[in-house]
Amino acid sequence: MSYQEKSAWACVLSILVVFTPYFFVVFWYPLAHVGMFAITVALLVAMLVAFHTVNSITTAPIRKSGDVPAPDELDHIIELRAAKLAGIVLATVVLCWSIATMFGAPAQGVIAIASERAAGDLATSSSFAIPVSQALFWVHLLFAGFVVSNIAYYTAIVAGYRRLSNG
Amino acid sequence: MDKIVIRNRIRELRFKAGEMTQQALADRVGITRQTVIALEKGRYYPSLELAFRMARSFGVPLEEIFSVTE
Repeated sequence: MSYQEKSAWACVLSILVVFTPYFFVVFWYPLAHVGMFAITVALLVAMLVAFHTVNSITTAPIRKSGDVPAPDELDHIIELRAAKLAGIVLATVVLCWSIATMFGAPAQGVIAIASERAAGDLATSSSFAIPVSQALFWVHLLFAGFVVSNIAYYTAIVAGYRRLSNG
Repeated sequence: MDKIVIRNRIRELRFKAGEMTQQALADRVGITRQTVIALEKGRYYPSLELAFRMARSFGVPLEEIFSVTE
């Protein structure tokens, strides 16, 4: 297994280790419900720092195990193909997110008005506003898309090297 | 258009060149050992530049390393 492949494996694992618990928390326990938006942002920054730390730790033995060969033309081709795939994934995610947000966010506003009316309150135009927790949900969904495209990039690199090894 | 298959004699030429190792060839032409393995197995076709570097490394014309079969 080449250094580039090991490095890609380390990146995939690091992303999964760091961002799986992060998205689990922000999607299942929306912190904005308790007005803790600042904590969400701080958590995100901490997660990004943790990602780079875990990534650095996991790739350190690879770097120390011998001379790291410079990437050659085959490595560049594999990276280019992976970047192309990641670009397609990102574009698809952003497009789906835009469409889902266009319909999903107003639908949540309509639900908010309906629930106010059901409670006997007078619904106004301000009732159409969605709660911060819902807004954050959509933001995190987009951020998850960026993370997914990153996973696609590194997975495609691993797949590229595996294809060479296994035919 | 029919697909062409490019065959190579890299492995054979390595052994003719004093049983040169894959790593030694990789170092001489500036690629990784994994790329040499991929080339020998025919899973990767090199760029023209790399092909000429290999030919120069073995001291043979390009067509003695690579050949095309329909």
